[in-house]
Amino acid sequence: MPVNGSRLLRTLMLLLLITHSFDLTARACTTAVISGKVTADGRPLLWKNRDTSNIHNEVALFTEGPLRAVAVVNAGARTSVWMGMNEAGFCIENSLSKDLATKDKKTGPGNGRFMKQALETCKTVADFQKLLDETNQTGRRTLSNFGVIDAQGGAALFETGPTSYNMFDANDPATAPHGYIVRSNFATTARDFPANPTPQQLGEIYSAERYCQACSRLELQKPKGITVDYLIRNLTRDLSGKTGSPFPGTVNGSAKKLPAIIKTDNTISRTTTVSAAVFQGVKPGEDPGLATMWTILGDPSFSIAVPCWVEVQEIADPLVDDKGAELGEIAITLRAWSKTEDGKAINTEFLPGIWADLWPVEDNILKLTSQFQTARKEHGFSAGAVTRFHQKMASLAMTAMQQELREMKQAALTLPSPQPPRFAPVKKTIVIP
Amino acid sequence: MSRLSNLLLSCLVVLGITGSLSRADEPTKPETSPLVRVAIFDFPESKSGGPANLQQFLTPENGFQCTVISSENIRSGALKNFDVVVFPGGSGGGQAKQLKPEGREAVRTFVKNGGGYVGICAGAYLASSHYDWSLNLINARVWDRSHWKRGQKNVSIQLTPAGQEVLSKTNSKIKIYYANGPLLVPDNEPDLPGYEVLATFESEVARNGAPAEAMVGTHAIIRSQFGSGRVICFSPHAETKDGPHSLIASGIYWASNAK
Repeated sequence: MPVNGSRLLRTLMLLLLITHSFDLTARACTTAVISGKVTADGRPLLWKNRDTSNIHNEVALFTEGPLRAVAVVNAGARTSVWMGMNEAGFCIENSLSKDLATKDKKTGPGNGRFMKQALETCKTVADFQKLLDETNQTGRRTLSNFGVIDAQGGAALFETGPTSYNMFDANDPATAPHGYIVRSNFATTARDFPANPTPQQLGEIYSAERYCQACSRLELQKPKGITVDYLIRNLTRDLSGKTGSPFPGTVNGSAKKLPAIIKTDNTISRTTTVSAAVFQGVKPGEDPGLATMWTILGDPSFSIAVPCWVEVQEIADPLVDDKGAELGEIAITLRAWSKTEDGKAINTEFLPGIWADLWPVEDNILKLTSQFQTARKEHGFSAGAVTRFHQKMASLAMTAMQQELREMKQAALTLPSPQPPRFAPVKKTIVIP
Repeated sequence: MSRLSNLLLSCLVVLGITGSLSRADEPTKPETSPLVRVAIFDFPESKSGGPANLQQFLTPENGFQCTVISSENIRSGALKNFDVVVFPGGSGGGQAKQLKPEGREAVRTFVKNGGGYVGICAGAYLASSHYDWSLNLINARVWDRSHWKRGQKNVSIQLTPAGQEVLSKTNSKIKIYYANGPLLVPDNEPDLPGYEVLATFESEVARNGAPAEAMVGTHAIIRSQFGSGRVICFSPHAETKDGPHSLIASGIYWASNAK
């Protein structure tokens, strides 16, 4: 049978489009770099919701490199990191931006490996820029928007291809008039957009909704000053529809009943979100060791934030396991039970109960950590004391998550179900010696 | 009564006793109830030891006549020759794929019309109402499905009173091999009846990231009805070498609805 050329071409293009869309959906992330100029306490903030098919994550300490670091990694993997910070107070995260791809053959580190290299060698945003300059020559396999902050007050985003980059300084009012740079899965460099594109400029490009929702949430909070608490509670867990309106009953929505089902195609907290981190930097002159990585393993809607520091002697047990840290694995179990059959939406039946149980515990962890950090600034604590506090916070979070697991299991076991049939009494069983 | 009639009566009594004795001395004939005809599903890529293990004890001596059948056999109507079909371990999704839509429908029709279904591990996943490839024979979901690969080890299960009645009159706590089987919990599909719990897990298997405490208390063996047929699902493997074979044999016997 003769092959119809244009039909074949159309089919191939369709396949390519489907493959490409799937890939993007599977690896979407939402991020923001926030200047200390618009935060409540003057310290820069960095945020990432990680969306990927690698659902099992853990927190790892890196002690072999020139700089000690702590980061979120795929469980059992140490060659790449997906968000982290080092002893100099330098913090990094990324969002995938495939539109930065070039046609020529690439060599060198990919996104995760490059971030690990940066964490182990860069002390400042300037160091990171230098690393980019150097590797522009040697080549990378990066297709990323890298968000970085440092202990000098530096806060910038780098749209980074294999041999070039474009820097966006969050402290520069000309580049970032709102004091922050948000990115999802596009690069303005690749599309000839301004640094902070409007929804109209973005049009229908992939991930535009998440970008707009993050901007909108930050803009709402800006008059009061953006805080760690706000990012953890209101940004990592944002559930807004395609139009940008938060669903009623969600953290940013009206105090009404949740819709029974929430499709997460355009939401920031999604059925593909596997972890999140909010980094709180330090002010210039402060001890860089005070920089905090607030880690949420699992989808933030089903999990709880735990503070991590580079100084800890070991990561608390609930956050570590080479098959997936248990705290995050419980979040996976809770979310799996709430997913719709196609996996693209959340049945919200259990969400209010989960939030009612977990958020007060998280509020307590935030409060205790704030007090601890204040005391730490005044008195300076040993690494042992920091480790013990970190473990205590992880333990509080884990206890709450375990209780949630028990309650969800009980709800599953006692689901009202139709009556079972009545069978006649059994007169015979078979005994096999 | 005359002496002659007394003698005659005595002879008759003696003859009667002798006759009774001679009948009692004859060897016992086997029960005349027909063997339960069992179809065991298998396919070349299944990599399941289940069919071979089951054939070791589903023998005529134990009241069974078993035959291994393929998805082609099922699609071409072979189930009409059996009382029960057993779907053993392996992969529930793999079994569903092998069956194809026509084979899945053939199994459902077989059970709906009175045939018995026994699912073991993968076969229990297949029977559930949870997955888009499931047969929807029993109103059950799989708890913690993200961690289905939670590991393999011997576990303890506790039979409920109903479980003891159907599966084992003597023991209520049983050691049994578990290998990534479904943690069964009720579903609420309105078109299906609920199920009865025959056994619950008393042990935990929490490897490969599976959180601790997710497994204990979930349902290990359940039974229900689909149309006119009986359905019983075993998450753990009673059929393994040295396993509690009486459990699976009794389950198959119950599913056959033998009179």
